[in-house]
Amino acid sequence: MSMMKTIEVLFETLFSKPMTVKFPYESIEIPEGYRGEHELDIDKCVSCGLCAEICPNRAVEMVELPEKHKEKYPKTYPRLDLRKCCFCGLCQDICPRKCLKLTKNVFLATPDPSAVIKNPMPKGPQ
Amino acid sequence: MTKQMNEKELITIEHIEQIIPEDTDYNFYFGPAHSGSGNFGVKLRIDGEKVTSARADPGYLHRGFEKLMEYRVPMQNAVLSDRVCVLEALNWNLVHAEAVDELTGIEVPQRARYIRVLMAELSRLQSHLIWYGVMSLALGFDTGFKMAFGYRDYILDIFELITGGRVYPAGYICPGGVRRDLPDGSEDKIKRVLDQTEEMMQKMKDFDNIVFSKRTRGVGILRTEDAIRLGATGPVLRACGVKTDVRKDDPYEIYNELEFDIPVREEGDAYARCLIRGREMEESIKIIKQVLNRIPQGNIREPAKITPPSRVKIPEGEVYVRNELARGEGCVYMRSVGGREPYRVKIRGPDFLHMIPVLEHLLKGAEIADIPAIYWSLNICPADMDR
Amino acid sequence: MAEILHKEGKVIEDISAKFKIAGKAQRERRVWVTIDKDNLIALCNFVKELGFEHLSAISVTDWPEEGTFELTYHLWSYSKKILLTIKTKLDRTDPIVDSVISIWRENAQIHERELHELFGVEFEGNEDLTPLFLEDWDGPPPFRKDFDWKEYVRQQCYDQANERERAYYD
Repeated sequence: MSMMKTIEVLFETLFSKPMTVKFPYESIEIPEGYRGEHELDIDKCVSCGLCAEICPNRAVEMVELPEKHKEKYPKTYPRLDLRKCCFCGLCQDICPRKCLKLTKNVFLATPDPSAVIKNPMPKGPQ
Repeated sequence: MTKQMNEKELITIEHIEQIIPEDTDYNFYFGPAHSGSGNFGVKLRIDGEKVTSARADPGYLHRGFEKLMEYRVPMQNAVLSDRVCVLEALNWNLVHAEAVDELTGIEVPQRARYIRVLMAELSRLQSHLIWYGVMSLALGFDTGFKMAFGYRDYILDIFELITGGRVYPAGYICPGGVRRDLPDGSEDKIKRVLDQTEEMMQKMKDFDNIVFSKRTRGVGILRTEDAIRLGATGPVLRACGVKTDVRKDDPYEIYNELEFDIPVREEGDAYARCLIRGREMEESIKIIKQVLNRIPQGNIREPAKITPPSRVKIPEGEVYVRNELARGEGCVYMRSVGGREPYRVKIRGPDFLHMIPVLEHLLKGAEIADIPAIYWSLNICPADMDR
Repeated sequence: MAEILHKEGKVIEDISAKFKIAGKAQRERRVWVTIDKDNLIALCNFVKELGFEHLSAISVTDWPEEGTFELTYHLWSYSKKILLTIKTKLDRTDPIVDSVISIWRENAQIHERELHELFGVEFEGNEDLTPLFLEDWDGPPPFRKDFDWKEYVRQQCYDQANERERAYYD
């Protein structure tokens, strides 16, 4: 009796596709709204500092820009420490001008220790 | 101390007693770095093959949550609350959010309540699938482990779509409602995942006669009067004949409007606990289908914008909230004096009672070969014992 | 609204008839009473007879300005479906109270063991109060409000020779 069941299951699974996805040769699509790396649009930022207040791990710190950009961007802007960040997205939800966003980039492993602190920088050629 | 024996002497009982030591008691630390025990240690005293006494040794994952929550405002605590036990993160989010909502007196919108129940039941389904996988692995049945974790991945894809993260939903169920609305097309995806989960449950029934029943029938029997005295709750108590469920006795959210049954069995052994969890998965699928048919439109969080931390104020009061988690009864006691942060938070997890009094009681007198069946049939999670 | 709180009102009546204390029904299925330390065991025996056989949790709240510890016992009844909370206050400099282990057995024993380690409350009658979570802990009970954890961690763990730790401790 159980022999029949075994043969039935054998034929069912012999011709069906395996569940495994062979990463990195194949991959699953990451949906919109995934909480990955941060991106700051510095022209819209008003320096309210709410992202630094709400972060549960104190990973956001408001700093000034280096001398050569201070004329155009005189206030303080958020600097993120990715070692402390837990990628919860509260800074994105509380931002009143919607300039701090979380992208879909999850490939953040790096052997370079200076790359984990993201300083605010203006976009474009400098 | 051995005597010299030559071939001509017969071996008598006195000779044997001088070679083999008399006592066969030894200590055995079934410890936190052991591959069969999760993150929790039990000190066993074993005589031959039988356990004579057991003493639990918790504290491997103690992180001090109750004190950490006294320094953060409720919205930040919501992100922290899903790390109390990561295997059912959304259920712990729900307990904490209900405690804060009852203190502040906010009326949570109806759509948010339905979404909360939907996510909590999906989280219960994936927690039972983890239990099935790990129990099969402990009993030696590797195929069940691989199938359970493979089918659990489909539920994690739904979490990724709705909350933005596969395992940690980062306070998705927050005080006041939920953080984001359901994206378009998620209802069809959820229905497809429910069909796949029903496929897995059919396979679980087919495996039933061979592996589980032989090793779990009659093992680890817990009687009714012992169960209530030792503090068991949830499926462990329902396997002893007590028909009780917090969703029916002390309803919260919208559970009093939904129809579902409570499975109960009389035997109290490990096999009864396994069968009850299988039936609970069927009831969860019934609940999710009812919720998807009745979900109304509306807004999803009561103060629609997040209040900045310097302006948060929790009114004075104290509250005790009880919920039915996948493992038993989970409760939060919160006391506030009118400041920004709660004054005292006490978290009571179901495993605090299951892993110390109930486990020590059940392991006494068991054989070594029955230890995995007893241990994993209680569905323990060391993280919500230690907090 | 009056008939919904009928069961809760009956429980409050039964308790105040015997013990002369006032109780409060916060909402349906939640009743809170306060009693002084000396009558605690008598009240616990009485409510166990009434049907409150499941001890859900015991908790301690620290009030350093008043100089008290406040103990709360949360009890659930499977037959009446009501949660009763008993509150009592202890002196903070000498926190001794009778253990309820004679009434609720192993369930109470493990809760009292945890509170003894984290707050320093003595439970008379409970013999097994060995530490539960923390190993080799020689500081004051850590969950009290006057325990300065930053200073304690700085004295125990700050390795002045290591450059990178300066950012956390200074």
